[in-house]
Amino acid sequence: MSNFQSVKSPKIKPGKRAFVNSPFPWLLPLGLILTFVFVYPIFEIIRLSFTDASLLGADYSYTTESYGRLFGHSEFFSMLLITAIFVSFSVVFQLFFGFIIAFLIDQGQKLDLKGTVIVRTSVLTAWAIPGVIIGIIWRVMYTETEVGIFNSLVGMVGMDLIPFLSDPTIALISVIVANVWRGTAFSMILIYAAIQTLPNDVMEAAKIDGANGLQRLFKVMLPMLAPIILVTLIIISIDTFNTFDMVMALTGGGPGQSTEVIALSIYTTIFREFNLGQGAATSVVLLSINVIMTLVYLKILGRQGEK
Amino acid sequence: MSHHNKTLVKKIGIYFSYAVITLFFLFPLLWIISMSFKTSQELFAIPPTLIPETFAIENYRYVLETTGVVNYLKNSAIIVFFTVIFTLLVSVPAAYALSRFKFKLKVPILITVLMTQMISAVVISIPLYRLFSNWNLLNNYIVLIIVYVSVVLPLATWFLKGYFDTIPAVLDEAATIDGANRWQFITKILFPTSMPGIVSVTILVAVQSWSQFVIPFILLDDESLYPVSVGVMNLQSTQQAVTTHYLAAGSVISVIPVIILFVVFQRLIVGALTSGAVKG
Amino acid sequence: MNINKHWLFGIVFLAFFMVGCSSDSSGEDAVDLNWASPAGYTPQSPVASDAEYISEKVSEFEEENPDVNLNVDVMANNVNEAMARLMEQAESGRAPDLAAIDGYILPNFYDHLQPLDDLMEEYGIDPDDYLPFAKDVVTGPDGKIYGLYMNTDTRVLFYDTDVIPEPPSTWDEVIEVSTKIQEEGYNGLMLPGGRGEGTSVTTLWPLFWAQGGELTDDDGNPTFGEGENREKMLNVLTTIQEAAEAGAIPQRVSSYGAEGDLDQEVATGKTAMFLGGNWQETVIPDLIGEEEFESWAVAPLPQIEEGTDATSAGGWTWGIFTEDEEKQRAAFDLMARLYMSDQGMGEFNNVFGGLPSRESVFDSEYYKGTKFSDEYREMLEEAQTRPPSPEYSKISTEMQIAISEVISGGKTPEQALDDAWNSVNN
Repeated sequence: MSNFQSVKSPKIKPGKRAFVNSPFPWLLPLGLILTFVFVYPIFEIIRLSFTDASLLGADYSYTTESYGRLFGHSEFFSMLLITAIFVSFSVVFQLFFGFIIAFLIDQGQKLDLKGTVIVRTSVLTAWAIPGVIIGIIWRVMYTETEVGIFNSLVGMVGMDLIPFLSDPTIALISVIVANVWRGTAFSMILIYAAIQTLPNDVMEAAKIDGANGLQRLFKVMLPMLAPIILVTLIIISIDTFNTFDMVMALTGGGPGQSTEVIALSIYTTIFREFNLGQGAATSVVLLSINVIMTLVYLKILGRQGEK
Repeated sequence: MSHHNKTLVKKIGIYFSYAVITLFFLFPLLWIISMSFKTSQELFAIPPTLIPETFAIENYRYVLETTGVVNYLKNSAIIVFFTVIFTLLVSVPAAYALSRFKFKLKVPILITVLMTQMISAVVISIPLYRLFSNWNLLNNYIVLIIVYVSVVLPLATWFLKGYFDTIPAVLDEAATIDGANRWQFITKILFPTSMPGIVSVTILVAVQSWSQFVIPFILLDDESLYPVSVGVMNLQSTQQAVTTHYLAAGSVISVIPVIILFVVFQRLIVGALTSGAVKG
Repeated sequence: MNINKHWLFGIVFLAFFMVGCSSDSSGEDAVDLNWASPAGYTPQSPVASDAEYISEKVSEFEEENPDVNLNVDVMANNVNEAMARLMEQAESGRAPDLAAIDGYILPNFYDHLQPLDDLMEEYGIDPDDYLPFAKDVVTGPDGKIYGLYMNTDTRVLFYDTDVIPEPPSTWDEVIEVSTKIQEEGYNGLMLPGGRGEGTSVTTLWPLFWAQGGELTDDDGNPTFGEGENREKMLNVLTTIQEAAEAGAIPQRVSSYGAEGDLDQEVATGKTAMFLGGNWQETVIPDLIGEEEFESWAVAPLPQIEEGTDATSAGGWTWGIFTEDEEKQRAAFDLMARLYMSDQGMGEFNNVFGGLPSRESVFDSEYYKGTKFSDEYREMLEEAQTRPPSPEYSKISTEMQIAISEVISGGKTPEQALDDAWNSVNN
């Protein structure tokens, strides 16, 4: 505690200078908080995953049954598959649209167009809305009778109403679309920032060399943006793996389990079925996914550092 | 001449795409705003109306008077405010150390910090829920905010570290020659020059903690303490009446403050985010 | 800013819980009565008329009992979660003085609750007046009464007599009638068939119970997937699948988990029959207009076999946790006034749209009744409540998934049932 205070104290006595010249007092608050909030829970969740604990009772015994159950069930793998589809499509489209929008805004600014601010703001707004509200909004729009806005449009052009939320495949697509709406802003802003840093002379040189717009985009711009795109990809993948608020408000995981992503499954297992042991085991699976993705991220980051 | 035409076509193309993008991103909001002004009959009109016939302002009065939305907003504001303050208090010194000191454990520490960033809030919330429940710390804003801080801390620290790295070491040396100690260097030189980075972090942390769902959802069980991100769930239809229009009004009320902030400060926000992201 | 206030708040909160129950700092004899309930049964009810009724009665109580401070603690919206948390509080000795408990779960709380026989007698509330299912639920193994059953509800078939003169009483008839009315441009039979408790109590359990099926044994262990019970549950899923395949129930019901989700379907005017909760009687006129509603009627839920009958009863109870006699009395008085006396139960259910759980209240001057309340009363005689098993929530969740998969065409009834059984029980 005294270390902590010496850091905070603006007047440093000469005797304490040695302290301040060590990095550790500066890192102490960070260390304490992360230890308190992460280290204990991680050990605890791993411990719990080897029990048959229930959220309701205090008694439990140690067992590896939870894992046996998970891996012995085809449902678990289909849940993982659903999560993978949800994450990968969300991420690909978020990056794709994020890139396009960033590119168009950048182009617009170069041509001194009006309206870039409006586009930027409208995209960013979606990012600042809490997931539950996003789920509520989209659920209302996806209403499966002609009362719903989308289906009313579908009806107007004479097509059959679309079961946005009750067909297993379409429901998953619906969830992905809403998630792309939500998450595109983050990719856009990172890519937009990266585009701003591209050295103008390289683009100009390519222009003089006679490369047309598309060639400049694919041969010059994209390769230069590749590192930031990769980093964005990993960050949003992990984020998407870890969320369930929007899905919960939108479909609740249904119909059946066709939109039940891993984070939602953990919540349901623990707080609806009270099965703490199995929920913990699923958490450990999610944790492993997180760790693996982080390692991949570090590898990319490391490679970038070498350049 | 042909060059001019080409530019014109390009401009029209870009404007068209702007219209499509803006429509796609604003439409859901416009729709929920429209629903929030409908009467319960008009909610179910076929075809649905975009412009409400009645402009039922009373939906808003009802929601403001009978639900906790205002309280949720207040709670969110309190949580976000203190999360931002504490995050900065912890992450600035840490980022400074990671940027300016040379020491053996630096890389492992950086990696560990990054790892924690990647861990799902669901995973940590469950043991914390049990722990806090045993210690009677559920529904306690202090521990809640500590958890919020820890979740945004890794990102903030990395981001600031990256930003500090871009501030030339020459400045440190100049300061040392002038006889300034580290603390003086931080307050007099580092802080002012990294203001854009700090603003970026503030915004990132604010947005993340504003929409944080899992942590308050699991660690609070007193409805009067809920932030907006969790509280709106309580507006979802009660059994005995049609409440979609109220739900819509509640959603609009809870989103409006952020939208206003984004619109008013959008230049600052985009500027800060991009300059921060570039350097970070 | 007001950080001090919040630190203080936190500390006070903490201290408050550690002591168990705090004494008023002003030093008067005031008692704090902590009252936990879902928002709907508190003055903060999201429904304005309910809020008004409750607030009024609460202020009356406060005027007459100036020494009692009422602290309302609103529970989480998710019932299972709220109940799990209440159980956890009860087991760790920090339960509120008084709490609303979902009726069927009450038996799990017997050990933590105070018997109410003496107070009931004093207030003239006869336990034998409870409807059969309600009496079962509130009576502990020792024969004492542990709960105040304040309101109930039941599941019925709503139908428009203009379109359907004779309501279907079996599922064969459901298919027949659906086919006919679809030719006239109406939807088939609407029902909750997605993930949500409404699906279990409205669609699944009544069909299962009518065949004599039992979800759990007396010890609360799941039984729905083995032996005879499996056959019965399979019948339920197969019946619904056949109806779905015949087009009698539309696929989109697999995204409706609550009875209220059907409101939007009723509002379109294309729904001529649906399975729902009695309280929807007050919602339908709002959706389609009073005049249209004139021709609507209710009937018992259609069953697989002619001549069988079952429906679900829901509703909430109040349990008193506090051991302090003064508080028990205050809590009971509050509840009698709000929800339990002839007047309280009658008036509350008038406003709330619920049904009385005591026979005599149906006849009392305070209870106005609704268009169909006599029919409901009759159906309630045969009603069942969900089993109070700790496994129930799991069973229900898994069976909702099963039915939703069957309707959306993802699985066959056998597959869906076996998967549900495995998930609940391995």
